[in-house]
Amino acid sequence: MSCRNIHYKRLLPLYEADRLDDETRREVEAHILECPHCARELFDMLPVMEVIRELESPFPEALLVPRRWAFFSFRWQSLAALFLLVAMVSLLSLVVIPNLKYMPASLPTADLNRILRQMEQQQWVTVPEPAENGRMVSEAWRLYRAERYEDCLALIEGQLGQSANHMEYRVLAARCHLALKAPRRACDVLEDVEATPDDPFYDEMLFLKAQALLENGRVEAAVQCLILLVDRGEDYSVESKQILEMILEAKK
Amino acid sequence: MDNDQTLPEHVSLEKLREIFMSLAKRRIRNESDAEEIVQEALITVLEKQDNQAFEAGFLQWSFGVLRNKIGNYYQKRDRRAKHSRLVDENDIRVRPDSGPGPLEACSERELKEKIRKVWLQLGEHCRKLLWMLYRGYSREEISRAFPQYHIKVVNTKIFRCRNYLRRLLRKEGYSS
Repeated sequence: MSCRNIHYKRLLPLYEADRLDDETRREVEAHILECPHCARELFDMLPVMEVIRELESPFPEALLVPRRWAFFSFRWQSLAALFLLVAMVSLLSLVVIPNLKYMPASLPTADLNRILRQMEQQQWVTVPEPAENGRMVSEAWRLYRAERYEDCLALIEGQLGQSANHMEYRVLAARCHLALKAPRRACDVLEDVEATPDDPFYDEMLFLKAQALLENGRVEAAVQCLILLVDRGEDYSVESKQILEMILEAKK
Repeated sequence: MDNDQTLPEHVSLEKLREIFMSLAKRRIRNESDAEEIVQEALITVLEKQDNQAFEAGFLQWSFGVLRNKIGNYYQKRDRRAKHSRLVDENDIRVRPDSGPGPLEACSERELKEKIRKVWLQLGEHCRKLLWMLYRGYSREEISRAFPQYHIKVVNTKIFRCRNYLRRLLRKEGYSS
């Protein structure tokens, strides 16, 4: 037989070690006086406690808890571990997705679009002549200017990879995709373009690519395109510089 | 002996006497001897408790007083027995109806040996926990030494380790 009051049974070791506050200690003592089982248990534990107190420390260290670590409790260790984990995941994601590092608060894509439109209106952007580029290119530009982007894309779809004017078709397709709010497709169209800086559509291709990349959130890649344009000092350099400044401002 | 007011408020002399008697009777077969020892122990408690700076609780200290009185009783008896070289067969220490108790079944030295033996059978964690507990370390200090235990479960671990220790002691024929 033993005491069935688990509350006091659990307090008994703490009472033996004098680890109770005055009120609880009085409660436990009042219980022991009423409970012969607990009294016997306490009585029998007296010599055991004496022996344990005489025993050598079971800890290998001379000092149980080094003072310099005493403040560093398990709770703080858990928090520090969590913080380290979060820091590591953040660092990893910055390495794996480097573009995130340059993600500004707001992207100046609208400005890019506006600049492009202004340049078109001022006829800075190359407008092909029907005689030079053949009937299909002229028709495609006509559809584009009529804002029939899907028709335009349908018309030039088969010409993107094989035509002699493939660069021009790609630029046009990218324009259509951007107008249709499909920047990812615009990126795809301009992704593997084999263009040299001598190509008449080179600057425009870079500018459109910058816009598409920016709208896709790939800011760092877009910045590379814009820097190239600024360095070239051609038609788009001033505008590219403006956009770069906007990106830097947004980053701050 | 009506010094009830000198005891702590929550302790009545009558209750203390009852508990002392129940403990003493488990150790001493002769009831009048047991009563005499209880009486002596109570007088000592009443005399000394006012000036006593308790290391632990009042009851723990007063149980210690009773334990010393019982130990003295057996020491005197052993001395007498040694002196006369005669031990009355009827005067056996162990009460047949109560089973072997810790003090009557073995001497103090044997008892300590048993406790040390059982101590080594305990797991390392339990040894460390109980050692820290009875050496007076606080729950926070124990928790710091065992970072794998949350501070809230330290008491539960202590309770379980102490129970395990008692089970092992029972196997060795000690304790109830």
